[in-house]
Amino acid sequence: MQPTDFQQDYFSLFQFERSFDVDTDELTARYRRLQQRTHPDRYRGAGERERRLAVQYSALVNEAYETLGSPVRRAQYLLRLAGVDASFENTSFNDPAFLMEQMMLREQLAELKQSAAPEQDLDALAERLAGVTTAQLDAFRRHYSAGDYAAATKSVAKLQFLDKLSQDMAHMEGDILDY
Amino acid sequence: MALLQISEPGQTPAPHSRKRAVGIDLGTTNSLVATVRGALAETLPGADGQHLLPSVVRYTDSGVEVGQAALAAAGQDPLNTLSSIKRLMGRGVVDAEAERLPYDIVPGEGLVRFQTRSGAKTPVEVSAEILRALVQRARASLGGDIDGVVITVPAYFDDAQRQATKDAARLADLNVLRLLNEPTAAALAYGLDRSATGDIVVFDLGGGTFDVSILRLSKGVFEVLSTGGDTALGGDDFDRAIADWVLAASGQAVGDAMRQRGLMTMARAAKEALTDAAETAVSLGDWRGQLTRARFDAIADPLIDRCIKACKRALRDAKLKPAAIQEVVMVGGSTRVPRVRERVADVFGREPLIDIDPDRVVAIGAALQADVLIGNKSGDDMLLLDVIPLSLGLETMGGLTEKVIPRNTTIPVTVAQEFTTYQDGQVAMAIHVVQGERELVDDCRSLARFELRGIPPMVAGAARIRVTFQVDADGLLSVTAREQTQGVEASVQVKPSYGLSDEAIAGMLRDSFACAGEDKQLRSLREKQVEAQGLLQTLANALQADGERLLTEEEQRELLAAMEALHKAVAGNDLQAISAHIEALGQASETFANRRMDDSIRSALAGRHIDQLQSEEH
Repeated sequence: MQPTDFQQDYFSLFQFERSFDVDTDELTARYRRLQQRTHPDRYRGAGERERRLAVQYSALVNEAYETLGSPVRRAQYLLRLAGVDASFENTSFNDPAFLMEQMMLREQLAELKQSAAPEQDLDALAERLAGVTTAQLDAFRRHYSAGDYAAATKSVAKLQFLDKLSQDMAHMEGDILDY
Repeated sequence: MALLQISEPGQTPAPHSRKRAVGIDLGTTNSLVATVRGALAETLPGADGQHLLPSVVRYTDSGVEVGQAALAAAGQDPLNTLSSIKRLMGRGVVDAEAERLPYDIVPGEGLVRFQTRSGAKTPVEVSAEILRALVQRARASLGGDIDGVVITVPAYFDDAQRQATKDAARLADLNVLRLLNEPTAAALAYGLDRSATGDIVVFDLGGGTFDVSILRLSKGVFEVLSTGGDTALGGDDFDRAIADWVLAASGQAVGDAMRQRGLMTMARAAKEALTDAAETAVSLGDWRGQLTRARFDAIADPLIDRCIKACKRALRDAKLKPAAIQEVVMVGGSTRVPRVRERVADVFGREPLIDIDPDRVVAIGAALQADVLIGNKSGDDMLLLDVIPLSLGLETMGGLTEKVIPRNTTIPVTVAQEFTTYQDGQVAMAIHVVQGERELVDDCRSLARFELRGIPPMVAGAARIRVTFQVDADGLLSVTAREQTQGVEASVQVKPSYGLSDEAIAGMLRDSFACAGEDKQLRSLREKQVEAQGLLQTLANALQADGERLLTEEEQRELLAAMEALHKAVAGNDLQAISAHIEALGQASETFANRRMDDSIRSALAGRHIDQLQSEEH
């Protein structure tokens, strides 16, 4: 019964089955209950050591929640638990169709600045990106549950590309809408 | 059906008498102190009957003046009268010069100091004087010593600014229950924590700063989703805009400083009059004019536009649309301007909350939270979750920043990063921690420099030094380091860039005790004894509740022996012995504390049906 128990598996901390499918509402509900028990504010009357322990546990609950709450991070985490080397920077994937799609999405993003109706175009692009992301998440789920970690790793690498694109889009949104 | 009563871990189930806790709004221009009496939180007036204490400190020949008296003397004794000091908490000389304050700045590095007739003073010491004055007021009003305080800080305050605030409280000898974000306090004052789930905006337009925060509330949990604002936008700008209009309309020049001050005072009066009136008379020299509400609205709009823009940016950071906002809370005197309320209502499609005095709302919320944290409200499960307002990063090669903890990460947070050595046999390493969003280290805030020593000598690149950054619930950073391959604990020496070292604070505390004529030794002994008794009480309760379930008989015996040893030490007067036994008991009880925490976590999720039963019972 050491705190490391939970550190080794965020799924067990939240009492979830180890799976890519996580009920996010339930995740949030459990997160709140865990914080009610671990947050340092709950230990104001306790000694210094117990308060420090609370900070550690509360931080662990936060980290686990962030990891399980984001599909990309959850996917990465599952691979890590499966013992797959998670250095995605070095993961190469030979998928011309995916790369082509990426380039087109990036081009569209760059053209937004000259658009006559930037908000509509932005929404349309966001929708497209969401579609591609969903497809990639489905692919990960398939590969992972089939135990094909090599293919699952490639899906995660693609998801990271899409994540980056989505961040760039958020920046662009700020520039275009000027707020 | 009678339900089993199970106490919150770490809290004593024994009934306790009501404790004296206060909330403090330590403001740039004014400060307030508030407390909960009966069911209501209220701000406390000073001897002069005023609730707002001007955040001004004057060092006189005979001592220190705080508040109205200091403010009144500012004109004749400018170098010894310090105001707007909040802007310089956790800041250096360069920042102080940028603020163009009329003080005598002591040249040097680190936290800025001002030369006064009582010697060089840091913003921390000046703030401590304001805190002392507020607590003195509370003590007189509540009839006894204050057991704990909650102090509010702007949501965007970085680590150095929060640390400086906490240091000021330490100097003023206060037990800080929590540093609380100002917008969160405002939301608490309106009881929004008790209403249903929703996202709320706190719009805080003060005299010289504008802050907007987006909070998410759900079942007693408060999260700060995003913050934004403008540190150079406030009510003073509205006055200036009116003054500019008067100058243009009258075709006159500004004139001397005296005339300028008169003009600003009139502009301010006109602004305040237009809160209720449709128009008001203005004059400059022999020129007479009328300022209508419509004209003022037009004058104010460009300034309000800046507020609205910051609101939209904060919404975007929180990934929300205006329609998603459930409530808008107004804070700060400038939210009395009708046009501000109108525009805010427009953006969010709902009337903002204005029932509580916008000058006092933050202090009132802080008092409510202090009451909960001190334990006066048993069974209250309100929990505040905050985020760090600015990213924490490290300096890497070429003066670039590498983010370690991105902004808006929920705290507490722990992040570990691995480093390695650059040269053969390297035994030390310097790490520079910064806070901010920019790429270049020079564009970020320098927080501290750490030196890791005691790295075992190895070939370059072989050492694995794991540095752990921890930000606690108050938003304060601490750092530990460990060499992984050989398991050697590397020592970390903290040099805050714009803060006070522990030794410096200890020195100031010694000085202040010397002034107060207190016997420091006796005082330390008493404090240790109280700490030891608290620890023993907490452990006794914990043992009674979970001892048999979570510990073997052998473990229980060991723990009881350590408790007995501390118990004996407390009866004596040997400070060192008590400290040693506290430490020993802490170690002896660590396993127990871990198991209780694990157990609590398991039952938190397993015991869901019990929670539901209880809530049905209520």
